[in-house]
Amino acid sequence: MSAVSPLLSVQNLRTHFFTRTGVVKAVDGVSFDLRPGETLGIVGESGSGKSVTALSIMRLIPTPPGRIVSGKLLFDNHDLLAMRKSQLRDLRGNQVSMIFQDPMTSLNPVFTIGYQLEETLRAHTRLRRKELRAKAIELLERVGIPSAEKRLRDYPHNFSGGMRQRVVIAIALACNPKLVIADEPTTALDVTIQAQILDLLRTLSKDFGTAVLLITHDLGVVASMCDRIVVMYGGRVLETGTVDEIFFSSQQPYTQGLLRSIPRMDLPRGELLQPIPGSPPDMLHPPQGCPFMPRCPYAIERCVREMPPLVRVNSSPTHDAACWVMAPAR
Amino acid sequence: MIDRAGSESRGEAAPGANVLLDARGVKVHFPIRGGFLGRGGGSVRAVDGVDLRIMHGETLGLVGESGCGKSTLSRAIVQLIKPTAGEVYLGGVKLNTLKRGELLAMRQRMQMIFQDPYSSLNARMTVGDIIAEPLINFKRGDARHRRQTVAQLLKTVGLHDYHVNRYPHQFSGGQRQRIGIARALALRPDFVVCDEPVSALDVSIQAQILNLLEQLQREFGLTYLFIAHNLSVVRHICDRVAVMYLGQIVELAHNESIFRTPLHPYTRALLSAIPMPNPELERARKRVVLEGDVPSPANPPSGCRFRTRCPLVRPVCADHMPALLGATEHQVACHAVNGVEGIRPWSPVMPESAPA
Repeated sequence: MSAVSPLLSVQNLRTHFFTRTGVVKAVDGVSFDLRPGETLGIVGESGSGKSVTALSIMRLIPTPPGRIVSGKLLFDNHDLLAMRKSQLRDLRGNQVSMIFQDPMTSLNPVFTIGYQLEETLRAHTRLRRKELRAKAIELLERVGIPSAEKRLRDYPHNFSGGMRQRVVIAIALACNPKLVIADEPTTALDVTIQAQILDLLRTLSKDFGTAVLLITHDLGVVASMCDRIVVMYGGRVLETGTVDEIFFSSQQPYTQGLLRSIPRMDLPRGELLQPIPGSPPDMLHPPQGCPFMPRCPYAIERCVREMPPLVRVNSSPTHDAACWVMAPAR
Repeated sequence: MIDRAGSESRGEAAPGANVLLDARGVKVHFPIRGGFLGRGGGSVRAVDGVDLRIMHGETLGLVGESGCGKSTLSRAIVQLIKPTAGEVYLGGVKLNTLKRGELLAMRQRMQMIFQDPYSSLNARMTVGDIIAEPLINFKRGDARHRRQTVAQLLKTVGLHDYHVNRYPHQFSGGQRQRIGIARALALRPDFVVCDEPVSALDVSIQAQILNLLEQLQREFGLTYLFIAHNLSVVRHICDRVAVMYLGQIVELAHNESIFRTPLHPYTRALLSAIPMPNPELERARKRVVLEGDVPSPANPPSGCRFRTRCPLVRPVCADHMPALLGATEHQVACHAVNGVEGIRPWSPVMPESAPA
């Protein structure tokens, strides 16, 4: 492992939702590290727990019915689970920001963009009124919004979807956070706009050394944006590795299945796709062992009973996989 | 009574017996009421002059980003929306001038599969009732025949006959989409519009549904109009592809042609923008990143609508709307491309060649 201590360390996170119909173990033993300045992708489908992981890190899980049941969350060596509300408020928007899929989740429709930008700055900096305005203009320009000064007075509905997402990014980066968590930031956008937004994120994170935790189901997006990838399924981590390791040398059955089932623009047109049979698990009644077992072509008896641990594979310090068959623990 | 055999002789016949769906000059304009914008009149030109012919047994892909009019066009084709102008022929029968009863009869031949598996099924009906509903509406057979047909359809789409008494909420998204497909097939249509049939599904399920759609096409001799924004999916399943921008078709070509040598600058930008699940390729490729946003369909640019974002724009583009020209295998609506020879072939997966 690298000598640099991780910026974010998630250790054995378990976030459960206690509902009337039962306990949904949305995240059930998830661990990974994120290094300063790195872009880490969390890839998974519905029910994988990727969004709940992100919300847990930001301590935004609605409690009740949700609760972080156990685990450790260390950000910049601060214990996030031990912090008071006021300390978390200082952290959010300042050191850690979040971008959501739908910009209207983050933007208040009845306040101007300028107001919302300045709100973040006012909360975390000591800038005075003229300086706040100047900084807000600078932020909008940084994310590529033309006529920035005029647009401060506009409302979210005066912007297109792509422009709104840029505003959200501007607010998220306003205080130069160490980490930005982006949960499906481009899923709702058209593909040409998506390319613009991803480009923007890539450039900004490089220029400012911001670490990015990118959550998505789109394998193309992770291939183009991420340094390392965490593959989640059914509330667990099934594999972690560098982007090349995941795409080119994965032996993990779910990862492989996923890569084989998507239509590939970079490969010749095949006859039939190779789908993964079955569906993602019902998180109200998750299986006891490996969550992927019902759909796995290699499943053995042990997979039913026991969740396999993440073990190092391919002799690589960065590549871990969880699978009794493909990555047997020593 | 619609007489299929004699349909070719009614009105204007479709050129070539191989054409199942013939759309000519289709326009769909939505009027904007004066007060709303503070100014009188004007309209949203959602579809603004589209000619499209779909052959028997083929899968034609319709791609474009939001606001391009692809969904509106598909609904105008099946007469769910009345086109503002233009004609649509299904199997030689002109749809838009039919009387209500005649159009209803024609509806048996064209069906639709919708994007959202959650809102497209009636939550209060059992699966059996949902699939049988078209049979009841068109008085196809008695109750026993309906039961048999429903059981058969469930099996065809990969579900079980014991699902017949369950309700939609008891199924996953992929399964619901299968139910929607079974319903669309109940009347044995010739033509099926698939409006983003896999976009709302998990990645690992999409392949299942795509394979099913292909299998059903072979088994039932179906013709598909396949609308999608995911170009990888389109490349996989479609024989020909039409690219739409702001209400018009800007490129229409065979699958290999359009993906290997896209000609229209918008198509190139679109293909270039797709991130590929291959990090090596991603690192090496050069992107065409389009500036700005799509103009409003209520106020499209004069001449070529793409000119405000086009890297190849020249003076003629503002004055004249380019026509869709070219060989049958590959047509483009672009002054620069049609007027200039020797455009260098460009493929989104070859890192060395950047678009011209």
